[in-house]
Amino acid sequence: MIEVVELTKVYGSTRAVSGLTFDVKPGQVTGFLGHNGAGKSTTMRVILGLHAPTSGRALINGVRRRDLKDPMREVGAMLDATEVQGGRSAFDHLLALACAGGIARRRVVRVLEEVGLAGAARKRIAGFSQGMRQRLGIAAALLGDPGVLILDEPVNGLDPDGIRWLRTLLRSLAAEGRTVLLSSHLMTEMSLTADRLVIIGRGQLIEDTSTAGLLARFQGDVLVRSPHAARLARVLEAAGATVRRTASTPGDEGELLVTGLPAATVGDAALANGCAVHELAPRQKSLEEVFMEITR
Amino acid sequence: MNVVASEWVKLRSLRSTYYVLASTLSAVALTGFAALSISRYHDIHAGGEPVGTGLGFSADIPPVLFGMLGVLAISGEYGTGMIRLTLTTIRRPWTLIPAKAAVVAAVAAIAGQVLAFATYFTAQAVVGGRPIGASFAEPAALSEVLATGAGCAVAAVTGLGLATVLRSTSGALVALVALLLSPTVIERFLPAPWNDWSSSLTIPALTRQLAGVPDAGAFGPLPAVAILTSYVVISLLAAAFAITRRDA
Repeated sequence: MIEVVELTKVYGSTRAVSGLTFDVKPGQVTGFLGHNGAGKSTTMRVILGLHAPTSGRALINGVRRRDLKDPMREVGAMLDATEVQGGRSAFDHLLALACAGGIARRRVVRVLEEVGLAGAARKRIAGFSQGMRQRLGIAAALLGDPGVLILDEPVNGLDPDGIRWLRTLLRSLAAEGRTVLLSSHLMTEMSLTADRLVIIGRGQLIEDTSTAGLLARFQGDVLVRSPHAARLARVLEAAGATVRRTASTPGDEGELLVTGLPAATVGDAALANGCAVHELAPRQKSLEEVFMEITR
Repeated sequence: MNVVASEWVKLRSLRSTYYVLASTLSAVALTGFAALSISRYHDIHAGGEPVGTGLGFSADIPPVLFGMLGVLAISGEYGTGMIRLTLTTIRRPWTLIPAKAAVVAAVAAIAGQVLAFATYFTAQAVVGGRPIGASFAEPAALSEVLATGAGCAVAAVTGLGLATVLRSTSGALVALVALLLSPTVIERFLPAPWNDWSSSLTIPALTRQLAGVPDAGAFGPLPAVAILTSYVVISLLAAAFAITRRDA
């Protein structure tokens, strides 16, 4: 459980986060969205106790990060996978972190296997690809088997296999009752992974909602292909829809994009007016389109 | 204790640690050459300056290099940003400072001690049977060698403190060299007895005073201990304060 309450962080003259309040509940994956500079990383750093809030507070399991008794076993974090010392082997890197939390060496071996780096454990991190560094960063977050995970852009640089692996991993961690907060700019991935979304802009909360609920609120349009497109368009406009004609072909044949009416109503209207319909497809707005719309 | 174990893994798993330790052997080489040329002079002219323990010829080298060890123990983490990851694993930021200090001080004390003995025995081997060396039977010879390891540890902690405050490898290295050498530079511009006091403040001068070497400086063994301790205490406090007060 993560609680952010009236959080404000000011750096010099820059207000990075401003009166931000949201909860991240256990048992689900919460996506943290916002444009670059919206305040995501700042918020995560404050939650992790790396930056002191100007006002407000951020709590993990009901207390501030600094008051956690055994921080590595309560919260695991991946902030920036490039922030490692390349001269060290993956094993030594994780072993040093594990030692700090009193975590056994065999857990390091186990975590390296879990993220698929067992074969590269003794290689220097400097030679790692970006995807391997991401996996190493995720391994570090998992070391203490924590109940709360905070991951900043964990998907960056992963190959398609890696992206699927991470999605499955995060969903299963959440299913075990853990709290998972992750940020990403990859909207398609986010809509597949996150149950809830916290969207911020200019340091302030824009949306705190379920992914399905958000998408349902932003209805897409209905694609209609008909040999009587022009007539059908007039009928639908009369019924209150906004119609855009695309892919116009000679004659009356054409494609319409209808907004403001559900697909069933469009079909009924076509039947009632004797317009044949060759294709009728409701189209969902993508999370990317919704995100661009509400953060504009 | 966990954090100390963690810092030990970090220090032993970076190549730079071994490069720095290997480069301290330059002190042995420098003393060896000095002892050699003095021995040659002695053979031809009879008399001249004695070699003694031989430590004095290369005394400025170990504090700089072990100070560098202390700098690199934390400046690399600031340079890469790994400090943030480190701080997510521990309860309080300040605990990182004594843990790193304990590790670099222990390594510097042991390596510095080995280096001091190596330097001493190299000098004596070069001198051979000539009456210009210093056996351990001579006053302060053994204690001078033994105090050198402590001086290396002090230098390492000083380097760590500078790097924590400055958060930059290059900045900390410049500051380290400036701090270690400034007393001897400032000495030239000061009237007596200030010049003596100033030159007595360097780590090699302090360890010689600590060992009771004759004419080693303006202070005695006890003030030397106090000044060496204050190098350590000021470095640790400044570093702990900086890491606690600043956003990582």
